[in-house]
Amino acid sequence: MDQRDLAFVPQVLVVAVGTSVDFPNNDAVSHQVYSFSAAKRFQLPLYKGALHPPVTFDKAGLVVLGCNIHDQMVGYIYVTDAPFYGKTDSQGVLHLASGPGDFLLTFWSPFIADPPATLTRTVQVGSGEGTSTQIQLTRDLRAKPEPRPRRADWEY
Amino acid sequence: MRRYSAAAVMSTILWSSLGMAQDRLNVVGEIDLRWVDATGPPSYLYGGLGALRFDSEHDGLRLGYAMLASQFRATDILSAHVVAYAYDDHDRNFVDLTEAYLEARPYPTQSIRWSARAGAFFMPVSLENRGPGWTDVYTITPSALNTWLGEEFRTIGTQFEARWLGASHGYVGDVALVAAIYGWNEPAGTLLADRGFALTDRPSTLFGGLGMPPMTFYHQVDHNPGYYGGLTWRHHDILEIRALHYDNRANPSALTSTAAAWRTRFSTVGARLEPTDAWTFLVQYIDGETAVGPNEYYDDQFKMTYRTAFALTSFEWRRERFTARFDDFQTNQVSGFYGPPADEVGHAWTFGWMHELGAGWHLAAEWIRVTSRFPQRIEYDESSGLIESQVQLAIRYRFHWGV
Repeated sequence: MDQRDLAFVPQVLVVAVGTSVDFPNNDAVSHQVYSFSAAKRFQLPLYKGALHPPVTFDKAGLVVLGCNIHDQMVGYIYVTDAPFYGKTDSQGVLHLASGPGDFLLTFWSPFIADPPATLTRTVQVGSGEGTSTQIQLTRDLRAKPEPRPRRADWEY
Repeated sequence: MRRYSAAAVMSTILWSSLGMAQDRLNVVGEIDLRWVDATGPPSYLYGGLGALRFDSEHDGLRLGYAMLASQFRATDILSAHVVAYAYDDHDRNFVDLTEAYLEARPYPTQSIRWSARAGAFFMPVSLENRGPGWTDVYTITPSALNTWLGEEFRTIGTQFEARWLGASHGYVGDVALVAAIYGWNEPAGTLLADRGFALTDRPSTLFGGLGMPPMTFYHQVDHNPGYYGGLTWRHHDILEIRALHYDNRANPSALTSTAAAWRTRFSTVGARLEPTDAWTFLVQYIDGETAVGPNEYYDDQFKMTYRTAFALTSFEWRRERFTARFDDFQTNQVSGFYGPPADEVGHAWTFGWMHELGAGWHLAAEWIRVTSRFPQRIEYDESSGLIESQVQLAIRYRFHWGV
């Protein structure tokens, strides 16, 4: 989970339970990354570069990241215990390589305003062939995907 | 040998603390040199009533400022901030401080993050002065509103902030409530009553003064603490709204040998909209009153109301920034002493251009035209109605340094 131009890059990361994530700061200014989410509470004291060891996410759930110096920095780590998971590409497409079976697909994005109940699908995958499913959003996205960096590192 | 090894250990500790790449100390320095062509009568900085920083007698090649702004993060939650400026406008001190404060900002453990400041700092009102050292990022000279706030106001006290961080609730933005108590700001209002509104990039310094003879602002006159309370709402990095109510709670009859207490109150509200990376739209409004007396010199009370607003638009394109601003201002004397009333009506147009040359170098150009009527000018043998203009071309060099 890099920090570049006063933003988390990528802004959304999905990982399996037990994954360790690095937080290198590639900005010219220092950051103080923290989370007070129930799935993982942690603080990385003032740093630049790769000062701190990776953080292990050992509980499923959403971890919202912030920087205590730059409030406009917001990042999300979605920690999942699902057997198959991934992040959609810029076209909104995701390929999952599962075996055959019945699956419950759950979609999540910090920017989707549609109610969570409409974001799940039950999918049946037969042997030897793939299947596809589609979710059409009915509401506008909630926030701009790329927050832009402030002009300066000073607060008045 | 023993001494040698101790020195080696010391240097290792020092080296490793430097090598930890934390940048506990951050310094921004900037020097601004400018060529000025001004048409107005003597500026208030040189003993007149002119509303601009420079005048026809004081233009040509000038030092805009030399600034050093530093932040030292002593611990993870405690930081010290000091800003020093050097000016050459007949200041009492060539080098002086504009801000010096400590800030405590613990990590948030819930959606609310508490923080506190103690020392001398600017109240969170201006939406223009967002650069290091409270510099204006849109053009050289801030609006009449923020010029005045920079001249007569500094919070010398303590400010508390509670900020609701929206991110954990799926909201990109935050809402902050601020409250402060302070002293040493009882003279606030003196300059506005004497001179009316102005447009300059000359905030007052903590230990110096403004004008000739120098008017000073940071005195404890009556020991009544003042307060302000405000709200900031940041929505999606697109919109920021700020509102604040200020009351210095001064006793207008209080005097010391160096200063009188002015009871000054105002409310202000402003909004900055940044719908795209390129465009900024900004409006701010202030409305208030100030009063002094009766005291041992005057049997009556002088009382004045004031209000000013401005609208600014700015467009940033590659290395260029273009800004246009319209200011409208007025003061009304409600009661007071003999002589021409402190009734001012005026407006100003400002057009600015900033160009990034690269490697820390910038060019800035600005044209201001102020049209105003101020009866007190008659006492200076000037006509009460006046048009003043000023062209400035600045070259700036900024550096960043951190360890």
